[in-house]
Amino acid sequence: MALVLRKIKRNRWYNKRFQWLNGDEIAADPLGDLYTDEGKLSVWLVDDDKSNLNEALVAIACCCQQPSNIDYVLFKDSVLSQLGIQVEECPRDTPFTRVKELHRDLTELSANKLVELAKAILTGESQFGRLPEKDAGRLLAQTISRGLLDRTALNRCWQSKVAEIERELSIRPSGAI
Amino acid sequence: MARTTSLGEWIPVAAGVTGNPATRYVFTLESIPSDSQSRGSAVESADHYSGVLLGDQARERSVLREVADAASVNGEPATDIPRKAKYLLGSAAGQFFEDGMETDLSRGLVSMIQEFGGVAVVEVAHLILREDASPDVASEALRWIGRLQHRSTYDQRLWLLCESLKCASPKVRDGAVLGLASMDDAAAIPHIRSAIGREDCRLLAEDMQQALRQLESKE
Repeated sequence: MALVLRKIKRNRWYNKRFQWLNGDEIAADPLGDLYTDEGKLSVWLVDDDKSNLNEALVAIACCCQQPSNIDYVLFKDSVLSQLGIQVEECPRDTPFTRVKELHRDLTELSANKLVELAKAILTGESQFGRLPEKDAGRLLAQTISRGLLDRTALNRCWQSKVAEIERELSIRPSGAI
Repeated sequence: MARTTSLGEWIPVAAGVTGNPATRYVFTLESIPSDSQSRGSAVESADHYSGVLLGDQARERSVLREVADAASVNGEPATDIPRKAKYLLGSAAGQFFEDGMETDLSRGLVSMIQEFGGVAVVEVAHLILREDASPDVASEALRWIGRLQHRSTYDQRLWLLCESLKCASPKVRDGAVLGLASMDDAAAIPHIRSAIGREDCRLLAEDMQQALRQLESKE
């Protein structure tokens, strides 16, 4: 058993009960976070005990153009089998190479399956989370200080954010004397 | 301390959210356009500034609050700035926003505030607080308004973010919380506390609590 992690914008998942929704319908906003490419949706696999959640979040943060909060949802991988969604191992190109094997593509996704997935996430036992921008910077700084991530692999914006955090936390930049 | 620009003068008028004096624009009477059409447009524009920043009571105290079409900020007619702001936020309505990713809106907004300073912030505030911008766009704009490094507009941006916590759309309130978390200023604590008390969206209330903890940890 594992958890499936998808980066989202939390405010698309507020599940507001608009008057124009009928029965068990959901608003279409969450589908904005389930955009596919040729029927494939990018996700990360996280251990059940979430021991490697931060590593996956670092991998996601590294791919952002600007320092930012990371909003995410976690749901059980059993949801995928219940909906008949295929999962393909697909290592992601990320500066945090250590965890690239955690990446998966959900494949052969039709529009109907995406709606079912969104409903399952909204109505099931999903866990919505937000890693604040400041904490994301700290996480990256700690990962770099442990020698697990090369700062030069980060874009310039993240590099300066990490440097700011290091000054704040008095972390000696790796490689500094 | 009053600050003079090519358009007019920023004067301290009231306590802002940081306890520092808030500022607003005052326009010189000499620069009022003579024809009635320009004058009408200029006065409407001036009302944006005084109305947004001060409210009606203060507006009544204001005597000099008209703007000339000849007045300019960085060479741009001041009356163009409301139009630019409206176009920037209006044209972003179809854009897709993703955390950590730049868009035409974020680039345009940052550039506009860096170029026109407080006048641009006030115009954006006018659109957001009157809820004339789409919730997605307003939310994204507020995130970037909080992230922007621009010292001279700091108080205005902080004020706008605190005020936006009262907007009807939860998406806009979320953008305001993210912006305030980016500014990381403990002055926003009472505003976030009040917002938590009003909040009926569970996920958003959790995010507000998280932002509150971050700011309280600075005290």
